[in-house]
Amino acid sequence: MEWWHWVVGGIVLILLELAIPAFFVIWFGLGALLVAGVLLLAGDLSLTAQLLVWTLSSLAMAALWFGVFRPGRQTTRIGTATGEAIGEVGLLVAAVAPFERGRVRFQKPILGAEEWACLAESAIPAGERVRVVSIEGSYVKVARA
Amino acid sequence: MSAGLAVAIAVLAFALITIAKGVRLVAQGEEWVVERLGRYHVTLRPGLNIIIPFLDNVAYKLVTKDIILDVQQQEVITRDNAVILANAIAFVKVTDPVKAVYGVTDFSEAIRNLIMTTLRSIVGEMELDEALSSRDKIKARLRESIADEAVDWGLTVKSVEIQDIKPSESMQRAMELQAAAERERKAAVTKAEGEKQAAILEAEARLESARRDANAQVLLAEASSESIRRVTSAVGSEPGPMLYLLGEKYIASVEKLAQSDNAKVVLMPADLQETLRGLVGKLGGRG
Repeated sequence: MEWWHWVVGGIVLILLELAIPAFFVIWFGLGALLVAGVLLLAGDLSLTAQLLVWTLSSLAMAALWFGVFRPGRQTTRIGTATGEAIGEVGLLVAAVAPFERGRVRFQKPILGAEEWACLAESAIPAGERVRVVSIEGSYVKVARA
Repeated sequence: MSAGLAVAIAVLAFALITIAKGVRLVAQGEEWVVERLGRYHVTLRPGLNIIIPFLDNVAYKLVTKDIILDVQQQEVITRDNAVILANAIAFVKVTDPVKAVYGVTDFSEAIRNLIMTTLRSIVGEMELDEALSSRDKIKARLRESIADEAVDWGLTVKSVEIQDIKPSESMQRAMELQAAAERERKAAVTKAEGEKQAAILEAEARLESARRDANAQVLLAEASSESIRRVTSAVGSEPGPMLYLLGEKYIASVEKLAQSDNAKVVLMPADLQETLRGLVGKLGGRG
C-alpha cells in the first residue's frame, strides 16, 4: 500500500468518529496517519509490517488515552438515578429510629416534595440536622449531618 | 496471502472489535445495567465506560430522567354508586436501576396499573360530590399508597396529578336533569310567592278603601247633622222662612217631574200653603 492510502484511510477513520461517537476510531485514524509517516520516512515496508505498526500504534494510543482519562468528577448529577438528592441536609421533623419512620423537611423541595418519610440506621431525635444517604423508593435514608 | 499478513489482519480485526464493544459512552440521563456471565455486575453511569466485551453484556438501558406516565382514563364507582371517569398523570423517577430492572418485569406498566387500582379504591371510598371537589386529597392519598410498592421497584413517585375527573355521560345527563328540576322548583316557588303577595296586597287595599268609605260616610252624616242643626238654629221658631224654603224645593221638584218624558199629567195640591204647613206642623209637632 502506498503512503497516501494510509493518509486517506486515516482521515476517513477520524471523520468516522463524528458519525459513531464511541471514542476509539479516532486512535485508529491517527495510527493510520502514523503509518503513512513511517512509510514516507523509512520507504518500503511489507503489508504485514504496515498492518502490525498500525494495530500496535493504535492500541498504544488508545491504552494511553484510557490511562490518562479519568472518569472525573461529574459536573452535574441531574438526571442520574440517585445523584441529585444525596448529601442534601434537612431538618428532622419527627424522630427516627431503626424500626420507626421519621419525617424530614428540606429547605427546598427535593424529588418533588419538601417533606419525606425517612429511615435511619440509628435513633435520631427530632430537631437534628440530617444528611440524605440514599433514596429508597418513596423514603429517604438519613444520617446525622 | 502469507501467514504473517493473515495473522496481522486477524489481530487488527480482534483489536477493533474488542475496543468497539468494550468502550461504552453512556449519555447523561441514562444508566446501563451490565451483567457479567448472566449475573448483575455493574451499573454504568453517564460518561465513558469500559467493559470486557466477552464477559460483560449491557442487559438494560434505563432512562433516569423523570418519566411521564400517562394513566389512561378509567371508570370509577363512588361510594354512592355514581360512575365517574378519571385519568391521571404521574411523574416517576428511577432511583435504583437494579431494583427497577430486576424487581419487576416492566416498571412503567406496573406503576401505571398500581396507580389505576389505587385511584379506584380511593375514589370508591368517597361520595360523588366529594370526589369531584377534592383532587388534592386524592393526590396525597395516592402518593402515600403507592410508596410501599415503589420501594421494591427502585422508583420514586414524584407526583401524581389527577388530570381529568368527570361524571360518565349518563351521570352527567342525570345531573343536568337534577339541576334543571331544581331551577324549575325555584321558579314555581317564586311565582307562587308572588301570587300570594299580590293577593295579600289586594285584600289590604280593599280593607283600606272600605275603612275610608266608612269614614267618609260618618263625616257626611256629621256634616248633614251639622247643617240641619244650623238651619234649625237659623230658622228658630218662625215658620215663615222654613215654609219658603220648603215651598221652593217642592215647586222645583214638581217642575222636574213635569219635565220628565213619561209623566205629562202633574197634580198640584190646590192649597199649597196648607199642605206645606201640614208638613211643617208635623215636623214642628215632633220637634
